[in-house]
Amino acid sequence: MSALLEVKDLVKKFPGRRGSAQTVLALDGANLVLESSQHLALVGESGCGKTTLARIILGVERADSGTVLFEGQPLRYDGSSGRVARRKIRMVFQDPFSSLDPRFTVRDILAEALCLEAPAALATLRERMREVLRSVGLVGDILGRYPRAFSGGERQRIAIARALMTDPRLLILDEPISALDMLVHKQILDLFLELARTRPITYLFITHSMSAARKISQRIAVMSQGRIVEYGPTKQVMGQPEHPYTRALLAAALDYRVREDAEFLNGKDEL
Amino acid sequence: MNQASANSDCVAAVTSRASELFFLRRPGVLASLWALGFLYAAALLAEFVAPYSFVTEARAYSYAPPSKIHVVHEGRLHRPFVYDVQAAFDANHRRYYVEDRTRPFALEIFGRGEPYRLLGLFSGDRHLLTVREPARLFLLGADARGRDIFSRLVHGGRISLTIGLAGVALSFFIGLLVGGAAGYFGGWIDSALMRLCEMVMMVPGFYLLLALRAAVPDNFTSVQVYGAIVIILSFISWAGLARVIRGMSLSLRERDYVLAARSMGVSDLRIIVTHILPHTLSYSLAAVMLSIPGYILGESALSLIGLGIQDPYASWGNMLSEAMSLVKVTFAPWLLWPAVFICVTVACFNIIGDALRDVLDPDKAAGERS
Repeated sequence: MSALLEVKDLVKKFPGRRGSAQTVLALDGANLVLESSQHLALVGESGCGKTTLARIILGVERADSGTVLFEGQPLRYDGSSGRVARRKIRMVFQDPFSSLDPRFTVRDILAEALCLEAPAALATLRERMREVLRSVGLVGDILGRYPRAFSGGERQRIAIARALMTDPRLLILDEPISALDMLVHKQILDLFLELARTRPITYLFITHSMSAARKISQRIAVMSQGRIVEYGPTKQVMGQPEHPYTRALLAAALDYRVREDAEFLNGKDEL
Repeated sequence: MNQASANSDCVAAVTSRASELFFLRRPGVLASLWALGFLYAAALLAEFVAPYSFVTEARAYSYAPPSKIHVVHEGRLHRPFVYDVQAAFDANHRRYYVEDRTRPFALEIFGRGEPYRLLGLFSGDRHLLTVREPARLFLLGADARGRDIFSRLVHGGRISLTIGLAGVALSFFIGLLVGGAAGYFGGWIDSALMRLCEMVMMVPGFYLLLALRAAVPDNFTSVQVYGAIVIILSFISWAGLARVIRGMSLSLRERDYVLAARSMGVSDLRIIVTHILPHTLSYSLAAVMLSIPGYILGESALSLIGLGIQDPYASWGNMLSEAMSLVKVTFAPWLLWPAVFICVTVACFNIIGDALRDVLDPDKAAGERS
């Protein structure tokens, strides 16, 4: 079975400060393989290139070199193959307060996700929106309301619903819980697990939180300075970290060795 | 952070509603709105409001002063009326007007006068205020050919008051699209569009106005000239708006919802129109209000030097061109009335625009962006 997503030797440079010839190397030959239904957690410190990697996979940023294969096909975003990929790869952003346009109603937000689909009958569309909202745990007549009427957790559910509108195969979760308050973490993580049970969906879960990574993912990739420095099954990486950077990261998650697994699985975050 | 910004959202919503009401209570705003309302209503119903059309001449009344309105005729109280006037010449052959005190002509509200077609649709011959022939009612005096200045002002308002709106609509459209595109795409598109803006802004506005007007054929009808002036004026003023909008969309395009829309394959034009430009609205609304006077003054300036609306059509600018000579102004100071109307209108738009800008201040509106 071929991999769902394969990232090969991605390099991305950003220009440094204006006037200086220095460039910032965000990705320095990153390699990554995602098997179908094997959720992958991507961990690493801020600025290590996680978000850049996600943006390139998502197609809003172009790599300087390297390839991204999705379902065995190289990703191109200018033709019909790109349109297919955009329907099948979706992203949930970190901050649900900025990822939803405050001037859009829930209906507009969900309808926008379908802009590449063939136009559908209004009744079908509404039924589809209701169904997706129900699957993320939002019931009642909320289609006409604005994001400001919802709490952080509810907004993130709306953002997840938007991502689910096109039945994606790959969902990139860019620190989807770190902007939410502690009480909501577990609910959202449970929602992700629940959604993965009922649909053929694979997560690329970008996070700082080792416990959340452990809860969601089967595999884990540790990123540092634009490279993947360690990659393997979650238990193995967390149990016997090989790369010094991984060890440092795990040590930084203070309570990792103190608390029992059960506690992690309850969704408590470190600190 | 989520809870806090949810609260600040509510607060922003409440305060913005309160400040909308407060907007009306600012000094001068209500008065300005009323004044503009009257001016626009008068211009809309010009044929009815004005006693005469803008072309009706009465050569015998050249430079007739504003009609004196009397209430006493032959020692007895009379409803408000005017006397007919007749030109006479003094020892220096200077013309002056004497009232013929034998016969009063009462002011008639909704009286019959010249027939007209209101807006080219409804025909009628009733006017808001008029007097019977052979007397003539000159509320604000008459010009060289005996045309009623008040009537011409009311008709001229149609041009002078709408040219700002039409011009703003056009330059707003160009400015928003150019600014939005430059800020959103960045890179060489941004550079090219901004250099273009700078080229337009670099040339002093009035000379550009003259140069562009010179490029327009001089055998245009008045409607064509009107259109040409609108296009010329908007060509000059879109650049300023575009630069500001560009700055705003530079920061707006970094929002996650723009990124989300791009990742979902929403087209660039649609992102600019639905996600970027609506968020610049509070600024651009105030900018529009503050730029309308520029159009009114621009049209006046063009017409004043004879390049705008041509006689016999009336605009406030070309009416003022009659007042360019000192001799005429000392002899018939009422020729300056168009200047008063221009000043009042410009002041009203500025007052409203200032108040709008304060209320819709980008910093205050930032609450919803959290």
